[in-house]
Amino acid sequence: MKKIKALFLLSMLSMSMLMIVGCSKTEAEKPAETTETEKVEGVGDLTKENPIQVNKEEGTVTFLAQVNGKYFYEPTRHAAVFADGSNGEKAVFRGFVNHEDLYNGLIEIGAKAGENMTLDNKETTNVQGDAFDVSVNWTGAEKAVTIDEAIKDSNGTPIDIRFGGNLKTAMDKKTGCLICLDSCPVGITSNASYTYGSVEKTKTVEFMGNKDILPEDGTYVAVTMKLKK
Amino acid sequence: MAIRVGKFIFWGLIWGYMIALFLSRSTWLEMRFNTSLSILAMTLLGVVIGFIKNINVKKRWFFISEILLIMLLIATYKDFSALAVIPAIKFKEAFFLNFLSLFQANIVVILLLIVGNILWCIKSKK
Repeated sequence: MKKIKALFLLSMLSMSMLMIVGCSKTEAEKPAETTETEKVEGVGDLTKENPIQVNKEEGTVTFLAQVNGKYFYEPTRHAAVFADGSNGEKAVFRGFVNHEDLYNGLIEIGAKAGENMTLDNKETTNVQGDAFDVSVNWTGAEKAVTIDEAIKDSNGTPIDIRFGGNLKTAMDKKTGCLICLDSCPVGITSNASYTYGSVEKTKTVEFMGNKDILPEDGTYVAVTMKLKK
Repeated sequence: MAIRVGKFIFWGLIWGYMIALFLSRSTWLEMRFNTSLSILAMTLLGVVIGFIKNINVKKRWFFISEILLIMLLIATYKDFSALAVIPAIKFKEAFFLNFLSLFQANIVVILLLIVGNILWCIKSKK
């Protein structure tokens, strides 16, 4: 009986302590200004009701998203996915704009889609199309961070986001993919640095959100895609 | 009977977490399925087993499972801060509670942990 009690105390205390230690550690690691911003359901003028802004003069499309802390610890092949898409919970950023609106926004700023990815050539083809500088900002952040700072590539290769297009396939598949981290025949934009399957099949790369840079799980962020000239 | 069912719900929850952790090691699987549903499945299995009177689990096996889960969590993520995020997020995914904040989900998980352990320490009538 004493042994059982000791086991009980040991397991309960250790689990609780570890969770509490984990909680305090994640809090301590974050910049002070981010802890108060998590409850704000938007960033600047971006809200769930108005989740996208298109600026033709600057050549930018900015959309509202939310940090998914799961991918600080587990690998993913998605940078941003529309929350209501079938892959909505599989990305570092849960987007609040749908794939069709993002596509139209990118067209509006004059971006040209590559349209070279198909379900048949996906494993041998790198996505083409206009390139973007992608940055992430949030209320209270000192400055916007680049996608290379926000998402860790295990090989250290720069992330090269291209406008793949793929609207028809995206509408058919309804995955909600906005920014994929390897060349994708479904995602509106994706990373030309790797072919499809690099994350899941050949495992040549792992992508994870950078918990040392990004705010904590649930924080609303603005993802800006600026057309490279 | 309620205590017995409660015990097995928590037993199922612990094993569900272990299965979810194991399944999430496959990025291919993780990107296609909600692997946290194993927590829901095992919890429901726990309810069923709770009503089957001739199935019994000794206390020591429960506590060993619990310690095993902690070890598995640490070995998998190699980062104590993951303990404040992953169990709560998997719990939200398993029970479709995405409206909960991470903090709220952590509170629920810690409360379940406390209640579950207390149940396993109560001597139930045979």
